[in-house]
Amino acid sequence: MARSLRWRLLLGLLVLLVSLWSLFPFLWYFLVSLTLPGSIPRSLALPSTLTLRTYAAVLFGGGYVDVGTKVSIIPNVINSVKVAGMTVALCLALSVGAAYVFSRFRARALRVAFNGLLIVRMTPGVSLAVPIFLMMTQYRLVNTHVGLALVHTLLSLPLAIWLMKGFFDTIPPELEEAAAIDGASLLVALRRIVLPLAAPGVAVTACFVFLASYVEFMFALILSRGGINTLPLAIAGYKSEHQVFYNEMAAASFISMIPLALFFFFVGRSMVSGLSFGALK
Amino acid sequence: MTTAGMGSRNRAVVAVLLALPLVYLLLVYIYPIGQLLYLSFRDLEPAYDTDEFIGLGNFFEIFGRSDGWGHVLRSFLYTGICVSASFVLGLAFALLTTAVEEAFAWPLHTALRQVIITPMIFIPAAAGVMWTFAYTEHYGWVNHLLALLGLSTYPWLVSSAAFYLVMLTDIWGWTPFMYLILLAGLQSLPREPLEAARVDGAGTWESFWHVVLPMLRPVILIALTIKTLDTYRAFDYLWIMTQGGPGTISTTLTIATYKTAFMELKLGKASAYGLVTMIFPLVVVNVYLAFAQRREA
Amino acid sequence: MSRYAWFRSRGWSGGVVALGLAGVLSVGWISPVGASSIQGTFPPLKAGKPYNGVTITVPSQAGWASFKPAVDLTPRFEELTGIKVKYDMIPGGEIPSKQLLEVSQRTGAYDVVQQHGISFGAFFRYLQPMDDRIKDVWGSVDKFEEYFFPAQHGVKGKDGKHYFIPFHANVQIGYYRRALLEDAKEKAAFKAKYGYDLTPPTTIKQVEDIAAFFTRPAQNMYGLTANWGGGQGFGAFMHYYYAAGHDQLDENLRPTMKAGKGREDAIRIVRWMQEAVYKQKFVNPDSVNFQTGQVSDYFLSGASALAFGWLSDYWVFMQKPENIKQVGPVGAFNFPSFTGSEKGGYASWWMMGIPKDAKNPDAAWEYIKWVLNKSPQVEMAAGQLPPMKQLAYETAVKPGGQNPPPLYDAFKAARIMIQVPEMSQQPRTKGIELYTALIANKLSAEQFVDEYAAETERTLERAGYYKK
Repeated sequence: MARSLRWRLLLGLLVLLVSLWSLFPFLWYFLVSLTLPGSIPRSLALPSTLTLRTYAAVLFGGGYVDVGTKVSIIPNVINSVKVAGMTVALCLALSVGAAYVFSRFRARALRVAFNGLLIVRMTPGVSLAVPIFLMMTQYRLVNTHVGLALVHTLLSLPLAIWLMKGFFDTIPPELEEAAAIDGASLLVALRRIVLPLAAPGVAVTACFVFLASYVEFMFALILSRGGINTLPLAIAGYKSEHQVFYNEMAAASFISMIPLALFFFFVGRSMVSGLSFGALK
Repeated sequence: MTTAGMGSRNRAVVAVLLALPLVYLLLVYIYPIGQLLYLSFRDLEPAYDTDEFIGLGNFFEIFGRSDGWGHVLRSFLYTGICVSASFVLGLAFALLTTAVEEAFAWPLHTALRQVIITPMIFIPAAAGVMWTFAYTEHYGWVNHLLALLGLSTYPWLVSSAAFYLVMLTDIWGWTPFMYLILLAGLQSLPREPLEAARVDGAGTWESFWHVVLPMLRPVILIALTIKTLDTYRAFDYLWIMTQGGPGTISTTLTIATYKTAFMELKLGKASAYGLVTMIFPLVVVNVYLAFAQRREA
Repeated sequence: MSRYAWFRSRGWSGGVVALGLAGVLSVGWISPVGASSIQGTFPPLKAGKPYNGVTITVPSQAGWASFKPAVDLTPRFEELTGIKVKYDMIPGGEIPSKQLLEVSQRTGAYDVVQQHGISFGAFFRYLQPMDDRIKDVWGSVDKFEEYFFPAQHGVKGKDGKHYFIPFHANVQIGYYRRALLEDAKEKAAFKAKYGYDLTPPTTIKQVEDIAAFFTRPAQNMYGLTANWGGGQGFGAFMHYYYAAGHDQLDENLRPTMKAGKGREDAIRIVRWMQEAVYKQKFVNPDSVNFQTGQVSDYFLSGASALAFGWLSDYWVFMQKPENIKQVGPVGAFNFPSFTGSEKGGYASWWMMGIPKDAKNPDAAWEYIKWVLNKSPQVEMAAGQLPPMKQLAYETAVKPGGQNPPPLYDAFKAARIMIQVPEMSQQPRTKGIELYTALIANKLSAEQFVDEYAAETERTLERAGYYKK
């Protein structure tokens, strides 16, 4: 039955349906990104002209219409990258060591602490919104990259520790024990032996932390006063109080897809399933 | 390893490595939680320069005039529907992928996998605006399709369907996540039990129900827990697509908290909302931990 | 007695003295005050760059077309005064909350606040009173108020002092497609059907008839499109309610919508809005989601004959032939009152104030004065009405102006929407929430009006306005 023609046809049909479900919503939006402002068709038809000028406008600024300000999203991309970069640096600095300790040591206190991380991860961000906002205002961190990075680090810290603990778990402790016998201190063993072996795992964790910060919307919305608008805010910002810039919005949306697409393409299925298990442990 | 046989220097290192994130959490998590508790019982409104203790006043207002029970209900409705639907769909997609892998010699299943995870590649904010656009009357493809079929167009996001449409977007966007976890789970299952069941004469459906699913249970449980708690605090889609409207039709606890804090500027009441929003995740996590401890014991 | 009688009673000598005084005073009013101001500026900027090198932080609305000329011309200000301006472009919906949260924490991050008139209530307790600065420029508070439209008089703190200076004014008006309303064939058909001539509407009945006449599903066309979505929609309702002759609060500060003629008219108006979309269907369904930008968009695509909203932003844009290829020439009309009242609708203001904890309050004042100058006001007039009577007249009524005359007429009589400061957060937020349910046809007209009136009363009661 596995390879009968009827079965294959049925599967083929299902594959088609699933593809429609996943891809069709993008189609119209993509067409819109290829049209000029003001020329979106009012029925399901191909636009009269397809052009890349909207993409150019979104990337390099300049507009076609006198009304509204059309500026490049490059500054927003830079903001996103800055914040995400800071988040990765801070998050890894805080979590690598702790993950190692969780991986190598088995004390009850550690188990409790590890479970405590679960609570941190599951706390709704919005619950912390008011206190964090007040704290950020007090220390003049509103509308700064550092401020937002501090919040993103909090949001990603539990996951980072989990992931890396998982990766450390796959490295046999014999090597460190051998190093210990040779008289190396823990720090040296960590630096010279374990980290190089865990480097791929650290890299993957860094990717996930980066992505989490890159797509984050709520705290960016809360903490930005325009100065640190990240890419998600810029995209949502095309839908303003006065007007909606559909074409630019579409173009920016597809541009924002690139890092994620690259990630999934290169990192591949194995890493993703590794993530799933790492997250689940 | 234990710290028993370690030198004091190494022990210090261990302590420092643990202390780093601990101190950070103290500052950026524990302290704000404390403030949350403190502020929940106060009336803090910058617009009127008030800052005073009012006991349970915020909570009475939330569950009285402000339709707090409605927000709780909608949070649960949103979570329940989105999680179940994306679970069922994710499982269906995973099974489809496995079936396709077996049925076709060429790697159609790889292409299928790429296609299925595409919605997840669009950042939530972009997906939110894309779907908002899709539902507009004179530019969106949903209404265009309806017009093509001769039906009348409809302002979807300003109607009672709005809440369910946001759920649909959430399902569309997050099914790939469930799909990947379930697919990985399915593909790491040992073959023997399944083959044994087949040999015993079990049909496809039975072997699925009684063999595959039970083996997948740990994976399913954890995936559901994570997804439930993530969906419960969902913000992006709801805010971008309806801002909790029309009226309060799509206002969940998360949206209500945000609106109370940053639009009504009632920081005390918003803290109370935040506290209420935390109850469900705390309960779930504790249940999960108790369950996990029991199984390990 | 009249001024003329006063002159007569004092004899001619008294009259000459009075005239002379008037002359001196007016000269003093027009020419720069003192020699230490920059020539040709009014309000006068200090000469000699006393604040050279100072940087001020000014929050403004992201994507705001009407203010863009001022932003573009800011280098000129920096040149004149040596003061550097740093703009924080905040998304529109968050302007009140983001600025208020900042200012209330007294961080000194902003030197100026830019707010819409309806939010003034939440701010004035954090701002510096401006009366002394006003007297510096205009000589007296009365002259200052005379300089601007009447609606400005309502925007004062509880102590009667001014905390805000207006720099932008607007009111909602209607646009129409001249190619349709002036077309001979259409006119004949209209006259045949309704029995009177087709002209830009001056009564609500005419709006209904014209909109119904031009609703043609076969051509994908509706009669009227309006900014009836969300907060703007609530503002549209308020405009109609005010233009019907009501304020929100009566002389005892009770909501006029609670009972009597106010309640009756309010219900009538929102029911009209609901039925226009769902029953009569001469308003396109998506209007319940529209902000003014989308109204303009929709109107320009030829999909409606009439449009309503904050359309002044687009007047200049719509005078250019290349932008109106699909619709032809555009005309403007003052949206009629539901009751025929002479009173105006909802006056929208944008204003600037100086926070108490501003780091550079005097430099900030120079900036505010500069924004009120003829340049950039005239450049900004491409998308707004200058809030000064004289300049508004010149840009809207005199030939060659950048604004349509109906805009001036509509604003002249318009009134400010918030009468007491406490109304700016609640009940307005609740009102908008109720409105979104109403315009989605999920709430009846009576429910909307009664709940909004109740919320208003509750808010004022809590603020202590009703002394038993």
